[in-house]
Amino acid sequence: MKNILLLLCALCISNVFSQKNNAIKELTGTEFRPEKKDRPYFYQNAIKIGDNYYVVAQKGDRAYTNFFGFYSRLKYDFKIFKLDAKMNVKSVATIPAEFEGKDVQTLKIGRYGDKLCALFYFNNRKARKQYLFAQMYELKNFAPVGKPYKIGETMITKKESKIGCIFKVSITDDFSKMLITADRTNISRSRREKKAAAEQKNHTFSYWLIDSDFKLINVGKNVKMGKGTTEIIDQTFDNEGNMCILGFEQATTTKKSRYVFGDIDGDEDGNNSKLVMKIIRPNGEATDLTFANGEYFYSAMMKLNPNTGNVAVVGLLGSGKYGSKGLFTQQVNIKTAEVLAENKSLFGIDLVKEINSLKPPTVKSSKSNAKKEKRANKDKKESKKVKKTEVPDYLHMFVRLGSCHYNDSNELVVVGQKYYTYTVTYTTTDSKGRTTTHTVTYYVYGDIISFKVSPEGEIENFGYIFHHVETTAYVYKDYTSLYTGDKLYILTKSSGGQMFLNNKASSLQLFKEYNTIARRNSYADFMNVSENEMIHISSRKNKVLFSLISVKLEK
Amino acid sequence: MTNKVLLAMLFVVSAFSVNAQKNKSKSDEPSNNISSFLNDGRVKGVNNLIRIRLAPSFMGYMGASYERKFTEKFGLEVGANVKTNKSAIWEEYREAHFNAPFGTEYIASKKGIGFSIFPKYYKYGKYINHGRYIGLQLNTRSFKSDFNLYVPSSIMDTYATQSDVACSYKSLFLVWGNQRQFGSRFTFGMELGFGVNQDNIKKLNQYTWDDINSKSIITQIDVKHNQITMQIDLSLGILL
Repeated sequence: MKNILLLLCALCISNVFSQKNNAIKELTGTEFRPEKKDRPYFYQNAIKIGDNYYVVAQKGDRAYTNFFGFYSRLKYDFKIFKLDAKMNVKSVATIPAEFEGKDVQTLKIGRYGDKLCALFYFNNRKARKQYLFAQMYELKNFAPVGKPYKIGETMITKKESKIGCIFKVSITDDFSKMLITADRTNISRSRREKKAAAEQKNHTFSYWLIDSDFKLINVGKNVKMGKGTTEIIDQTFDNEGNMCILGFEQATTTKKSRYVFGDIDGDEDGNNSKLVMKIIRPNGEATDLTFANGEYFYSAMMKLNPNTGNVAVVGLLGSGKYGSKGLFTQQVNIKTAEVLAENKSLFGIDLVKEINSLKPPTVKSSKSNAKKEKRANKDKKESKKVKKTEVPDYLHMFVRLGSCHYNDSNELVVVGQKYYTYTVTYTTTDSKGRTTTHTVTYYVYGDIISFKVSPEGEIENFGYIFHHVETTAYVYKDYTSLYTGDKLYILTKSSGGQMFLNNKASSLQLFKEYNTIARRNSYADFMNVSENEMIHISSRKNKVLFSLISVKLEK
Repeated sequence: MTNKVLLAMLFVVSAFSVNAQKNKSKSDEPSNNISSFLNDGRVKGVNNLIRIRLAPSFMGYMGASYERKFTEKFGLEVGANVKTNKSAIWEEYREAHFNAPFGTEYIASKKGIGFSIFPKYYKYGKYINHGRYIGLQLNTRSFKSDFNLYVPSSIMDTYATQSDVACSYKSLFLVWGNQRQFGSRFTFGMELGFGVNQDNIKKLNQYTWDDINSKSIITQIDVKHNQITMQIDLSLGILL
């Protein structure tokens, strides 16, 4: 009897462990050594079609000023790694950034229809236009299908002949339609141009909606949206072609109270900035919405729920003290343009106090973890110093909104991260007594915080992960989140785990691959492939290792 | 009544469709005639170039070279230069340092002809329009020169002139170069080279004093001079 009980206990324990360990599955392929000409500089995208995975990277001439004083422009070709289901590289293909002998610039490659679609742009100095081109490629041999198409065009000035891409491209979930927008607000301009833009009565942008046969469904040229300087911050559209475009209208009342999206020093007084939204239906009818009057945001984003057609707008409300004071949420139906809910949910002193008092969960600490803990404790002490002077009602350094997920109950799970930068000036003296100084900016990606928000916009509960990564290279966020089966998983370049939304701190576990192949100074990156899959890339010198990190779907 | 309502409805529907379509113009339609969009007035994707170099012109040579890129990485440049006028720039400077017979003075070089061959390996640049390359540049020039020669004498030393002495110059440089397109079909290039050159003078008279017979004797000698040198060159080209 005792034996049976012991066996049952052992089974239960093993089940518990296996559940914990199997939640995130790692599949690592064999190490691949690409030829020199195929060694990429940047990994850009990962696509899953059938049983194969395609990792898109870019390689080309680096930007440099050579001995003769010539400055070489960036020009990249696409490199595509075709991987099988076991993460082994089957082939590497090059898609050159060139049409009819002319160099064009690469933008991105994605799935479109049942093929791959590569996007390029070209600045025509004579016509003073930037053109966007699309070329389809076969999946089997990456051979081009038909001729490339010009799918968008926008004006550039004489000075902007080397400008980057002005277009923003999105593809529907069913890969049947492509939305292209062109907004000149985000490009760097002279002071005179900025002044002229601010004095404009209306801000305008252009859009093109096309199907997978490159037929134009809908187009809008110089569509009015917002007043003065309005920045398009996100766009989404459903499979039917209903489009939703979100912008931030900057306040321009006085010189001092001018609020820029992501402004960290502004305060609320006298602010008349707002979020503006334009919903455009496939037949060209449009509805304009404005909301969050007088608010400004560190970051904001949209998320479409394809099942209901609801679009959630989420923003991190600015406090004026480099920390978010709350969440702004709004839900709009993309088909009817009906505003379903709008709410400004402030964290308040109690919630901020509760979050700031969290302690990291105890984990078997390696040396690096111990360092991280020390760093986290140091940060904590620093934040406590702030407490002594005043009781904050904002989350210090919580300024980056990373992702937003819908669950079946129309609830939102919002994930954000603490972020700040600091600079260090190093001075070195050589044997001859000559001193040289250089300044390095460090980007610090801090703790990850998640909130579960009710359909009405109220914060229900939160999750917290202690995290600290410092880099000298900028990325918007250094993690990704997968939300499946009502569970939230956070994956970083080295670790992953479930983030429990139980008002407590959760912990991440190092990937097996990270432990087994200890790589100092190795390059690591990750890209989401689907709702529950991420491809992890680890490379050192001449070798690349691809791993599939997937979250087990519950039936 | 119903007809009127139907007509009104039809009008409204047509008005809506007009509204929806009015933004669409032919230029907005995706088009696969991309040549017109790529035409920015700059010649692209060519592999032939005619180039004028600055370095030979310093020596009074006028000419041009033709370059063809045979593959993405390999190109060959051949050039020809002619000198019709008298000039004394680099040769004078160089030959003044010759280990020539005592008292020999260089006056000027006259008619000459030069050839060059320059195989290149392109590190970057698919077409000849722009790129970075490394190559071996072989130059030969043959020309006629006049010299003042020292003539020793028992009474007073004098100088004699020897005209149309056959001279030649050969050089081999390892060159790093870079060229860039500007305008519609022009290129500008800069090169830096390190290498060796050799100057030859054939049948140069040498006057020596014969103590036994108390008179100067003429002998003809060949003079050779080798040296390590560097070259900086600028070029202008036209794409064909």
